Amino acid sequence: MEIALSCDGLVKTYGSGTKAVHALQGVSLSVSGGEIFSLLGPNGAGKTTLIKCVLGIVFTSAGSGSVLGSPFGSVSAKEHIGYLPENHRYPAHLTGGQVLRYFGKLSGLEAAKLESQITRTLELTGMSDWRDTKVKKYSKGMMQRLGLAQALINEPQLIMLDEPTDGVDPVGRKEIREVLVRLKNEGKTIFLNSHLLSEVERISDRVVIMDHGKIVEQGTVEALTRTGNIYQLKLGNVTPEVLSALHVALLPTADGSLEMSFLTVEELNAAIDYLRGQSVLIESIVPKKSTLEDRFVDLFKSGDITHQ
Amino acid sequence: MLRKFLAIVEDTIREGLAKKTILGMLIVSTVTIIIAVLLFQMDSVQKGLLSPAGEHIKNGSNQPAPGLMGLSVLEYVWMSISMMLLVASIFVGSFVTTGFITSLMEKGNIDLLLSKPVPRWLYIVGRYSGAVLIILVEVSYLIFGLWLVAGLSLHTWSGVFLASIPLITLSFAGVYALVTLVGILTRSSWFAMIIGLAIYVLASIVVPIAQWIDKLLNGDTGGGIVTTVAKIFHYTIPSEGMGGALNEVLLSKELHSTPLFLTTGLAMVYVAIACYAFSKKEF
Ligand SMILES: Nc1ncnc2c1ncn2[C@@H]1O[C@H](COP(=O)(O)OP(=O)(O)OP(=O)(O)O)[C@@H](O)[C@H]1O
Ligand SMILES: [Mg+2]
Repeated sequence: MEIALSCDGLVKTYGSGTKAVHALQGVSLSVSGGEIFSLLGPNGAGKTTLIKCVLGIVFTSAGSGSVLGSPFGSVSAKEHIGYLPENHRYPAHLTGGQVLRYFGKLSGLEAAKLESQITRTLELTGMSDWRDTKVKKYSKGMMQRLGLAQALINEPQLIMLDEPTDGVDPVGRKEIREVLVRLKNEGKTIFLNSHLLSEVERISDRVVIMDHGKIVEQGTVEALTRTGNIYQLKLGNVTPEVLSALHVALLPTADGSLEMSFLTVEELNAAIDYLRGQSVLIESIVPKKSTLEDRFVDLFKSGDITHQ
Repeated sequence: MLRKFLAIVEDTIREGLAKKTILGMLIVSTVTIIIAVLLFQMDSVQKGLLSPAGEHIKNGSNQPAPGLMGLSVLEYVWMSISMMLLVASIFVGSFVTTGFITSLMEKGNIDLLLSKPVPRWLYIVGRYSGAVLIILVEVSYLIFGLWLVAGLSLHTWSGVFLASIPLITLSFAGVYALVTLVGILTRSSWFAMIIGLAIYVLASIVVPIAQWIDKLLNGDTGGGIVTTVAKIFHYTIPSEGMGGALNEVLLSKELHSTPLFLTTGLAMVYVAIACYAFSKKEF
């Protein structure tokens, strides 16, 4: 599969001297065409800075990168990129339709195509009824939907979204997720910045976690959320004596079942044999997968990451 | 490219129309035209305007002032109005339009604009052109309106009066190029306006002051080093000398093109520097 975006040893330093902010400190990654790629990380990790480097809104300090086969910031590549900035603001005196028309023209759409694209993107984002309403009357979630419509106006190959579901209600979020999956099925590449991990893990093919301008973890959602051999067992008529004889780490959970961790599947089976030998009733055994959020919190709590 | 340029100009005009100040300027112009209609209805005003200026304005020895020979009061009044408009369009015009440059760079707006397949300089040139276009329309409306009123009431149609439309607009365009550059460097509309206008005013008075200093320093008149530096400064600021050119066109019907070329050239240079500065900026 061809590469939609890649960078190698990307460095971005804002300012200089003692006031220098090292927003990106040698980031290398690549995004394949047609995938949903998510960039995660705490506030200030450098996620937005990376997108700004790609689009030429800021200039990289060192390292190289290419987007849709052109260098970062190239005007010709931008014809095929859609972008939803964080905290975007549109001129308050324009209506939703006028905003799309303006940005559509800047994207280089011709008149006939433009009108059909305005209608299409408004429909896609559920904003058709608000086409002729001034932007200043929009709620936050509506602004976000209009922003998404704007990012799609030029039928981009690569869609870069910075916190797309920010301020959107749960129904709206679900709709936005559906739109993103639909776009992926049309073969578009989606680059997502988000803190809403639960959202990201549902739709992302690949995730990169950043902190302090460096990549700290990357892989498929599947790989990042697999946590080894933790099983959730629901047991009937078990006594504390039986449990203590098991010699495994136990963690009671809210629904009364127990989380046990075993080094191997054999150990698990030995434990089952032992419990059955003691006439303990096993009601259920569930292998536990942590959510990406757990992984994320673990990563930043456990000191895996050294903060400078 | 042209389509993108027009889209930026159109957006600038829309932003302008959404501002009360530009509407305010149109209203003031309309009121001025209405007052002119009322004044020009009066017999005495009509008679007065058509009489030779020399009858009314005398110099110390009770002779008509030499510059006014052969001019009617109307032409003299017209010249005064044009000069006032020149100053007003530069000052009021800058006040009203300086926001176009800084609003372009507002957070949340600029990121999106820069993500579009549009070369950065086009935004500056588009916004600059939009502002100049707005002032052109305002100035044309007022001057053409007054010219029409004067023509209809007095039955004299002098096309040369209309020459003040391009000259005043060009004067504004020159100063606005300076304001645009300062606006991009400082990102503050107040700074842009105050510093831009201060440089313009300073350049227009600096030469006589420098000559005076030179006189104090070494007794001779002009020609000193201070005067030379002042002259260089004076001639690198756009729109200096445009007032003189306007005066000349209206009074002696002669056009000296040097200030026009100089202003056009300098405006282009300042806009080009502004584009360069903008292309190097990070947001
Ligand atoms: N224009 C700028 N000038 C100076 N420093 C900046 C600028 N923009 C960002 N920074 C700094 O760079 C670092 C990374 O910021 P960035 O906006 O990329 O983070 P982020 O991961 O997008 O955070 P968030 O999740 O809060 O949006 C931060 O320390 C920030 O303060
Ligand atoms: Mg961010």
